[in-house]
Formats: sequence, structure tokens, C-alpha cells
Amino acid sequence: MNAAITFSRVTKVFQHRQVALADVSFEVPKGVTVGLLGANGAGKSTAIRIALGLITASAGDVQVFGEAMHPGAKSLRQRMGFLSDDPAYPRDLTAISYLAFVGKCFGMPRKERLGRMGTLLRAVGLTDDAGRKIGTFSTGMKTRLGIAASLMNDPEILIWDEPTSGLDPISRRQTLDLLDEYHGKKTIVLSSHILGDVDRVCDRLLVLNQGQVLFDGHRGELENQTREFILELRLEGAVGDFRAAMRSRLGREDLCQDGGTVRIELSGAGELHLTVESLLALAKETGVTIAGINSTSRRLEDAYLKLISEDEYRGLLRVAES
Amino acid sequence: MAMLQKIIGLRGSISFRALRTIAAADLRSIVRSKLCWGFFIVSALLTTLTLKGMQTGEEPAIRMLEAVYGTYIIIWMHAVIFIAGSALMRESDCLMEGILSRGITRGEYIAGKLVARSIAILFVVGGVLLPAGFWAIRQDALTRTDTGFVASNEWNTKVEAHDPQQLYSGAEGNIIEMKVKNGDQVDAGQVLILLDDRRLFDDLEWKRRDQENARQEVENAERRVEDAERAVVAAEETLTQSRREFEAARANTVGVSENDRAKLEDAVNGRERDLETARNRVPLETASVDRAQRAHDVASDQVRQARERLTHAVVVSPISGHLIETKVQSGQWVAQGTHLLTVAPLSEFELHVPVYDFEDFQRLKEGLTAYVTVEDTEFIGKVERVGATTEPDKWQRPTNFAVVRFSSNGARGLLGLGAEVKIALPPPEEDRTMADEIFDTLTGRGKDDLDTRTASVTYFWMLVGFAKVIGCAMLLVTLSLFATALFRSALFSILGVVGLWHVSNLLFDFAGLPELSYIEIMGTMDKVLAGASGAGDEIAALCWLYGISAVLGVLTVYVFTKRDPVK
Repeated sequence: MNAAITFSRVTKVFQHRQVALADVSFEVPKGVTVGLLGANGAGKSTAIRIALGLITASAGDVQVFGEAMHPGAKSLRQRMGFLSDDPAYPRDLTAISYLAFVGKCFGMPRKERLGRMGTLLRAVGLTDDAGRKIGTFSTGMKTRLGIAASLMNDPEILIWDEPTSGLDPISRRQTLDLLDEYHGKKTIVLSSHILGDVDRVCDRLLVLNQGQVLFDGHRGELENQTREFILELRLEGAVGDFRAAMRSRLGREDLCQDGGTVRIELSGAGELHLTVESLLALAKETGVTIAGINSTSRRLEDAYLKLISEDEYRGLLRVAES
Repeated sequence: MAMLQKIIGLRGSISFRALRTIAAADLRSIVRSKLCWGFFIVSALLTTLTLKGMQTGEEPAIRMLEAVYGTYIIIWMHAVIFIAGSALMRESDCLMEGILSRGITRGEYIAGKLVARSIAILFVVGGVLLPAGFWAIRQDALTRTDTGFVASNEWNTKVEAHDPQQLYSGAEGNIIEMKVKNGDQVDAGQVLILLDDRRLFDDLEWKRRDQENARQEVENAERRVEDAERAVVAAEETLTQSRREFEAARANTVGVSENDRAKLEDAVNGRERDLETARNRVPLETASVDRAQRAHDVASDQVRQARERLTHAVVVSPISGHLIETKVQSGQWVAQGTHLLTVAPLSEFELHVPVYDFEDFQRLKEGLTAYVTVEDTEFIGKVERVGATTEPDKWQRPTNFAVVRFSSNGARGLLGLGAEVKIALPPPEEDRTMADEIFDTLTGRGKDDLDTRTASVTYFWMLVGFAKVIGCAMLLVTLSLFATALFRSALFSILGVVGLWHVSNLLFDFAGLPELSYIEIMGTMDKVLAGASGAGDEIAALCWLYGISAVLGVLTVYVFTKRDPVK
């Protein structure tokens, strides 16, 4: 059994009103870092909570390590670590006493618990604040404490929901470094709106939208679905005239519309040479100076946005057809 | 545990370790809770003030504990509801992520909460009520010893027989045998004295003869009545014949002379007179029957009296007890109405307790508890009556007194012994305020509680009363948590349970369990504390209280585990 988590035709309906997941099937292989992407309300948190057995699926099967997951499956949950997107803590507890409580919940022996607490507090940079009450912590400190709590039982599956939100740049880098460290050693499910983070640490991507799986595969597969290039020019002078001439004579739209920067979408690398020549000629005619020029392929963010917008467009078409 | 899980359909195990972890964490949060500390401190403070105030007024323990327990049931149960109902209030945010994702099941979580809240309430309520109970009993003993008793020592109080039966002779005659001696134990119906009954037998025989004569006279009179009635019939027939002959003669004018017709007419008149005479005889003879019957009744009554007198020749004991007095001896002639013997009951005794202090005497009432010590053995008695007039004491001084009745519980040889007596006095009459009246109305305490108000409280019954208060608290803890698990709103649950608690009296009445309503619990608390209530009834009520709590606890676990928690 290579799958750490398996969703088979899982549906979740809340209160007979809201469909959070609709017939969702996917697998998270062991030892892989999976990025869980989706807009707000796409069903990411619901999927995570069902995977943890915190809530039950209305239909379908969920298996973790080949065993059925349900609210009573504590032995499975003891092999998983979870960081919520909005972690809440008992405000009166100190960080160290909270981690001790988490260790007790996992049934860890006292010695192991104490040793693990020290290591984790140091890893998340809370050693100096270990004796402070959680109620006085900043959002970033709470997130770091949540990360430590999720690692308390040295889990085989790590599920982190928005681990870098609210963190300062240094903490964010440390968190991503931590994920890098666990890369390949643990099965990691990372849910984040920061696509750069996902881009950096994830092998596979799982994109959810409106309760359904839009994409499930390697990151490269998603990026390969969009072969476009972006040509970016930094201009000085009558940029407005340049844009108008570009639109009328070359038939191209500026994607950026931001001051002196013009971004143009190209369908492929072969188009690049001709387009650059045309733009240089056009700049000469309109009297603008090209201060800089840059070309990149589509980034993950663009691929993701394209995927979502295409799905919404298909949805509109389906509505129109019906 | 496994069977319970199977019954309520729990998946996954409930481990003691996890349950202990959750319970300990919840207890720590309760310890940090200002609400709980506020409840504990304020309730302890008010309880202390109440007890100290009542101590100043020399109130007995039963009054102190009744007031304290009643206050807890009426007022502090609201705090219990709030503490229990808020169990999940602060957990709604971190419940899923903070606890359930850490290898804890829903069943372990809610069971841990139930255990923690129950223990917390037990400590918060018990932490005040138990010390209060022990203090009140201790204080009660001190107060009673110092000023709360009328005491009498063994020199001026002797054990006397209660309600001794004096036996009188029902007939006159010589005593031919005394079957018992002074001090003997006798049973009801046992023969004590035999009188010479020969004269009584003769008398009975004479009376019977008189009765027989009277009966024969009745029969003779009845026969005479029958003769008179037959004579009337014969006279009527003769008269009819004479009239027929006279009518025939009058119709035949040719062959019958005038003289013969006149004779026939005279004959008719003569028969009519005979008939009248015969008819007049019948009531006379009937009256003679009544007279004879009355004479027979008198004779029968005399026979009955003679027979009864004969039964009095054998003197029997009307009760079981001791023969404490013998006034006659064998061979002695006794007249009817002579006092023969005195028999006293076996188990009931009384004491005439002199009361020298006039103020103490004013506080004495029938029904007060008296502690009687005879030869180091203690008996519990009651004041049966308070003397309306004085009696001379040992030194022939006229003294007020109270009569104490007590049961020997099978002990023998008490009569005549000196006894130490302590009568527990009620508290002095108090000026009742409107608040007292309202409290009494709410708690169902009435004027008829005198017995229990002055009784001593034993540790056992104090603990029974305490267990009832805790039982109410446990019922509310489980009900509050059940409502919280069901409605998922702490505020709704708290307000709902407060409302339900106040209409629970009606609900328990409808359910046929009025003893579980808090009004009934408060109304009968004095009897519980006094030990006047039946132990079986109280144990049954406690079983109901804790049983319903247990069922609600199981339902809470079931409801909580079957539904996804709210985020």
C-alpha cells in the first residue's frame, strides 16, 4: 500500500444545505509533499478534517494507511500531525504546558514528551517565550506553536493548513526550511494560498474548486498545460501611445496596464523573436525608450489562475446549455 | 466500559489514560476559572455568615443545615448549571484542532468533561457543605450541653412504669389462689388470681331457674292468647247460627209464634254479648304475654350478670408486663371493686422530671427529645406531657415537672432505678421576619416541624442530606452537558436548564416521582436530617437521582459522539 491517504468518491454535505465536497477521489502517496490548492470555500479544510477523522463524510470512503478513517480511529490520528489554518489555544496555558498537554493526549511517556518539547520549541524559535501565556502571543507565535504541536508526536503524515500565514519573512523561511527537511521523510499535505510556498516545497498538487478536484498530479504537469510566455518591457516616455499603437498595429493587449511596465502574453518561444523586433520598431516610431526587457515562461500562479478561470468558464457554459 | 460502548454504539475505544488527561486539563481550567472561584468564595462566605448567625441564636444543627442545604438547592444550583453548561463554551474554537486531532476521540473528550465537571462540582459544593455539616453537628452538641438542656440527675428522677394497669375485683369472694407474685413477668390473658366461685355458681343456678320459670310463663300466656282467639271464632259461629234462625222465624209468620221470635231475638243478643266478651279477652291475654316476656328478659339478664360475675372469679392480666403491685393475699375475702394487683407494660417507662428553672419550663413542649441514662445505658425518649400543676419533689418542694416516656428496647430491671435525664430544649422563640416566612414557604418548612427541628443530627443523616444536594447537582451537571451537546449553544443550554430546573417539580410530579422535585427535597430535608425519614425511601430517592444522572451522562456521550463538532 503506497497511498498514505485515499479518498474514494467522498461527498460531504453540511446540514443538508451546503455541498462542501462532491464525489471527490484522490490519493496522497507516502513520502510525497502534496500542495492542496483552492479558493476559499473550495473544500480544502473539509477534506483535511475528513482525512483526520474530525468530521465524517456523508458518502464515500476515506482510508489512511489502508485503514478506514472515522472519528473513533484514534490510533490512526496518533500517526498524524495537524496544524489548523486558524489555530486556537487555551489562552491561560503557557506554550510549554500546552505542548505537554498535547504530548499527554498522544500518550507520550514523560521523558519522551519533555525531550520532544525542548527540541520543538527551539526549532520554532519559541524557547524564550515557552513560559509565557499563549494569550499574549502574536499571530505568528501562535502559528509557530501550532507547528510545534503538530510535530509533537513525530507524525508520519503532516497536514498543515496555511502554515506561513501571519509569519514574518524569517519565520516563513524557517518554516519552509523545516518542510524541506521533512521532504521525502514524511507524507506532507500543505494547504496554502501562497503559491510561491507551494511552488517551492511541493512535489504534487491537488487543486480543488467548488468541492471537486480540478487537478491532481505533478507540478510540472500543471505548468505544462500552459505553454505561454510572458514578455515584459520597462518603458520610458509616451507609454500610452505605445500601448495604443501596439493594440492597433500588432493586435496585442498589455496584461499589466501599470505605469511604465508592459506585459505581453506569447503563445510560445518561437514567437518571441518576431515580437521583440516588432516592439523595438514600434518603440522607435512612438519615441519611447526601452529601459529593460525580460521574458519568462508562465508561473505556477498563472497556471493555477488559468485552471480556475477555465473551470468557472466551463461552469458558465454548462449553466447556459442547461 | 466495553459493554457500555457497545450499547451506545461508540466506535473506537475510550481509554482511561485519555479520559484522565482530558479530565485533568478541564479541572485545571476550572481551577483557573474566576467564575468557579467566585462561586466557591461567595457561597463559602455566605454559608459561614449564615452558620455564625444561627450559632449566635443557638439554633440547633438541624436548622443550620436545613438553611444551608436549602440555599444551595435554591440559589447555588444556578451556578452549578452555569459551570456545567459552559463546559464546551471555550472549546468551540479549539475543540477540533486543539484536542480531537491529537489522538483523542469524541467519546473520551466528552466523558472527560463529564468527569471533570462532576468532580469540580463535588469539590466546590462538598468543600463548603461537608465542613459546614461537621461544624454544625459539633456546634449543636456544644450548645446543647451548655444551655440547650433541661437536666435531671438520678437522685431526683426514678424510672416509673408507663400507664400501669390496676386490676380490680369484679366479684366478691374469697381468694382461693394467687398465681403470681410481685415482680413476676406476665403475659396478656394470663390467670393471676382465682376467687372462690361456689356461691357464684349457686347464684347462677338460681337465676337460671328463674329464667326457666319466666320462659314457661311466657308459653302459658301465649297459649291463653290462642284460647281467647279460638273462643272469638266459636262465638262468631254461634252468633251467625242464631241470626240465621232468627231471620228464618221472622220470615215464617204462620208457623212461629210471637213469643218464639222474641226468644230467638234474645238469643241473638245473648250471642253478640258472648262475642264481645271473647274479643275483649284477647288483648288482655296478649298483654299478659308481654309481661311474661319482660319478666323473662329480666331473668336472662340476671343469668348473664351471674355468669359474668363467675368469670370475674378468675382474674387475668390485660397486658403483657410486670406485676409491680400486689394488694391482696391468698384466703382473703374481697368485695367487688377491691384493688387487687397492678401490672405495668414491659417496654414502656416514664420519668417525672422536676424542672426548677421557670424559663426552661416555658420552653418545654410535648414531643421534645429526651436523653435518658440509666446505669450507663442511654435511651432516647420524648416529653409526653408537661405538668400543668406542680408536684412535690424529693424534698417536698412544689416543683414544675415534665413527664418523659421512653422505650427500654428490651432492657429489664429499670423500674425504680435512678435516671439521668436531658431534655433537648428548642431554640428560644424568634422574631420572624418576612424573609423567614418566604424562605419557609419556598422550602415547605412548616409549624409542624417542631419534632425534627429540635432533634439531633447524626453524621449518617447529615451525609444523606448532603448526598441529596450533591445528587441534585449531579443531575444538573449531566443535564447541562446533555443540553450543550444537543443544542451546541452554551447560552441556550444554560438558560434552558435553568428553566427546566424550575419546572422540574411539575415534571417529577407528573412522572410519579414527586420525591425528586427540589421543593419536596427541601420540604423534607428537616426530616432527613432528623432521621425521621425512612432510610429505604431516602436510598430509593438517591438511587433515582444518581440513576437519572448516569442515564443523562450516557446520552450526552452518545449525542456528542454521533454528531460532528461545530467549527
